[in-house]
Amino acid sequence: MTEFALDTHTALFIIIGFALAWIAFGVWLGRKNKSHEDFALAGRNVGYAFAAATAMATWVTSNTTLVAPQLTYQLGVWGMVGYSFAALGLLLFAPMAKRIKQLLPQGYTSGDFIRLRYGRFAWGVFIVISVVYAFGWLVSLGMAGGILLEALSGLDYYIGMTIILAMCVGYTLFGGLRAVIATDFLQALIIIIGVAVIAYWLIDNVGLTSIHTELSQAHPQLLDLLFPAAVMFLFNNIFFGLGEIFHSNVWWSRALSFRKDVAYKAYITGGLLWLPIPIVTGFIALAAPQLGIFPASADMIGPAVASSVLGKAGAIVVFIVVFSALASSLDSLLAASSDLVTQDIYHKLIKKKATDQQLMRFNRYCLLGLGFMTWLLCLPRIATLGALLNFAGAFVASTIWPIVIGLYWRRLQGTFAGLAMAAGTIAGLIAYFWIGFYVAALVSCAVSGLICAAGVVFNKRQFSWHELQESRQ
Amino acid sequence: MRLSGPQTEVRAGYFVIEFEHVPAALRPLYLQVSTSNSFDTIVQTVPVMGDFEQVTLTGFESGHYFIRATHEDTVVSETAINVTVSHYPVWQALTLFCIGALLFLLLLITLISGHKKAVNND
Repeated sequence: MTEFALDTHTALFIIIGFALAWIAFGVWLGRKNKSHEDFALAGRNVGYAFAAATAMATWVTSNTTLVAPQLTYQLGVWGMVGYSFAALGLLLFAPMAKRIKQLLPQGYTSGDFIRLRYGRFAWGVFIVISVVYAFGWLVSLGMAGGILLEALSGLDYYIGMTIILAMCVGYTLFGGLRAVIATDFLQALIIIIGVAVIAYWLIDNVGLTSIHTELSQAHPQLLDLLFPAAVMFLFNNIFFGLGEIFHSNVWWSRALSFRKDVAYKAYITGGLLWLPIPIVTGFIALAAPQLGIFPASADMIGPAVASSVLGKAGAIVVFIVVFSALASSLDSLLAASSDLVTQDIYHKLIKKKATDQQLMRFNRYCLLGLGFMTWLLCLPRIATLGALLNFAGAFVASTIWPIVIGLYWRRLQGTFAGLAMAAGTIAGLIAYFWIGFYVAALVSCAVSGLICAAGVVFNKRQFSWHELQESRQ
Repeated sequence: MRLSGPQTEVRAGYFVIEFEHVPAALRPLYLQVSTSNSFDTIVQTVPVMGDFEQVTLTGFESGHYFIRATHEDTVVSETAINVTVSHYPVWQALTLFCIGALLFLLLLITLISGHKKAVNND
């Protein structure tokens, strides 16, 4: 019989307590939502502290709390260091966020920009990529919730996953982006304090020398700086992170919801706060062999080690930190994805004359539907979290060049941008299956970049930035 | 009880070993890893976590490894399984690394020059 760090009832008590508190908070915040703009973009009036906290907290997700240890367990030191380079996504998005706010002061979504800048063909490709990514991330987050509870308390995967999904759908449904950002602020505080506590306890309890000795003797590859798969993974992870942030409406909707002149500073601060977190969470996995912990599935390694070292009190800290990290990303993605569907598909294609109230109602139905579909896709537990996320890397990395060039340069036109995203994705997928998950984003970005370069060389027409100003009904 | 592992060469040094029908009496279960079929030298002894029916092993260099299950120093698996680890060549990894570095540098130059141009136009 397995002994878990937390008994099932304690875990259930914590999770249900948190769920009720967050939903009540969402309902309270939702009172201020009078229009669809309030619901979807928090009235475009988010200040610096909340903006920086939401940027950091949203990026601390199952990626950092569960996948960073997983990749460290699989790829060693490079897995940990390489993962922290994903902070570059937030740092490099800072100037872009300023530009986005400048070019699209009344914009709603990243899809708005692609449609107006590149036209329908590129927009169609972009929407497919966004949907695949959104579901990949949503499913990985839902799965992470279930895995976390199972690893720490033995609670059935399906029950844990269902409660976390229901909670995030619940408070986002009532509070919209305002609730998402406010809960992110609190969750960011919990994450920073919790990670600092875990790091201190780990260094105090498990010496660095003993970990190094064990790894050198029994798992030398994890310390090898020329570990081939890990070397391949390094830039792949950077491009995956850049693709995730550059294309996703999660980050665009934040840029558009922040007050003028806040976006740049907020993303820089968020990136710098985020940078050390994967190093701490990844380090946890390096201690595993020394502690005699070999997980059933690599994505269970973080919680398993932390709870083993820190005991029951530590397990509760780990549980709350990871739970907060998951919730802060899951709610953001649910809100941003439902905005994208509402604005780009419902409002632009299905009901062009929809009233503000109709948009708000559709947005809420959409949230419910997304939550339900995510729940269905989480049921089969199809892959490890790392593999699932990196599959999406083949898609999102293809959008990096079209977005960067599209924001700053006039020469790239829609056909080439659409082709770059489609061909980049296909090439990335071929690399994913032919070589491995650690090269998919790199290949996708390279192919997309080559096609964009050809587009810039061959196109002579200059795009007019005024075409981005779309009248609102 | 029967062990099963990766059917093809392992390219990144980590892999999953699964076992079927482990009776409660055989817990706690351990896996022994050796570089020889006779298990003269044990490279690792790995405790299996809880009552899970698989374990993920990691950090292996290129080579042939034999794995069997034990309980209280008694071998309980029907046969040992053989896993071959063969890492990608370093030249291939470094080539992809250099392509990645070049691509990242180009992206950085494009972004910074675009940002400067936009600021100047303001």
